[in-house]
Amino acid sequence: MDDAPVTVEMNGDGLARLRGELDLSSYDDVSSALAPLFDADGDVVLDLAELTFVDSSGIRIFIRLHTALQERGGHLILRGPTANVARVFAVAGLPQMGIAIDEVPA
Amino acid sequence: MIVDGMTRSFDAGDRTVLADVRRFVGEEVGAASPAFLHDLQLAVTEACANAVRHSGTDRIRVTIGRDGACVEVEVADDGVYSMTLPVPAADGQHRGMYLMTTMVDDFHLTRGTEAHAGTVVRLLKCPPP
Repeated sequence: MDDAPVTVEMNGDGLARLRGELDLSSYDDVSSALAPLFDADGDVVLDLAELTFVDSSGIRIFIRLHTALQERGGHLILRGPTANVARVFAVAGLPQMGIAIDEVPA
Repeated sequence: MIVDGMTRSFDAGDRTVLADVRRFVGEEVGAASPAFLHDLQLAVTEACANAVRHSGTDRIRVTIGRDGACVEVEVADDGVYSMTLPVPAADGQHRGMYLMTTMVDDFHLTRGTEAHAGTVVRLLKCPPP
């Protein structure tokens, strides 16, 4: 993933950080990188402060992850999205699915 | 047809095609609010992602032009339009068309068929009044 527009940093304890631009081109790589989190017990936090773009493919990853976590009573928490990304989440209806959008002030 | 537009052709199989298209949109739109540019880039990304994923095309041609204060973008491929109605599925599939249409002021879709290949998606985005 040398030239990948998006990078995934796994920080343990249900925490990961995404940086860059997440779209259809990186769907498979990001899904694979986040795979361990699908089996997490409890909540998972994705730090998105440096994720500048997400399309419907990225939204789909987040919904799949949240659905998997819900089976064990957990939730997905999307922390610190930029204003643009937060607006996409709102339009896509993620809060209504129980995904927490945690907007941390910069 | 977009009059006096700038067209660039992209390899649909290129790993960075969607990011490259977003750069092109950014270059051509020029001065605009970050939200305006982002929302247009998202709509164009979704149109191109549909072409990459569903149409079987080798190339995508993106044309960008102006209509007064508004920006017009045309995404054309050489494929066949195979999407069904854009009803979001429970796992988040089919959100692309929904996001695309929500992010722009108007859109028009000409579907490529087996007899006449080549889908054209035309997007119009205007600044807030």
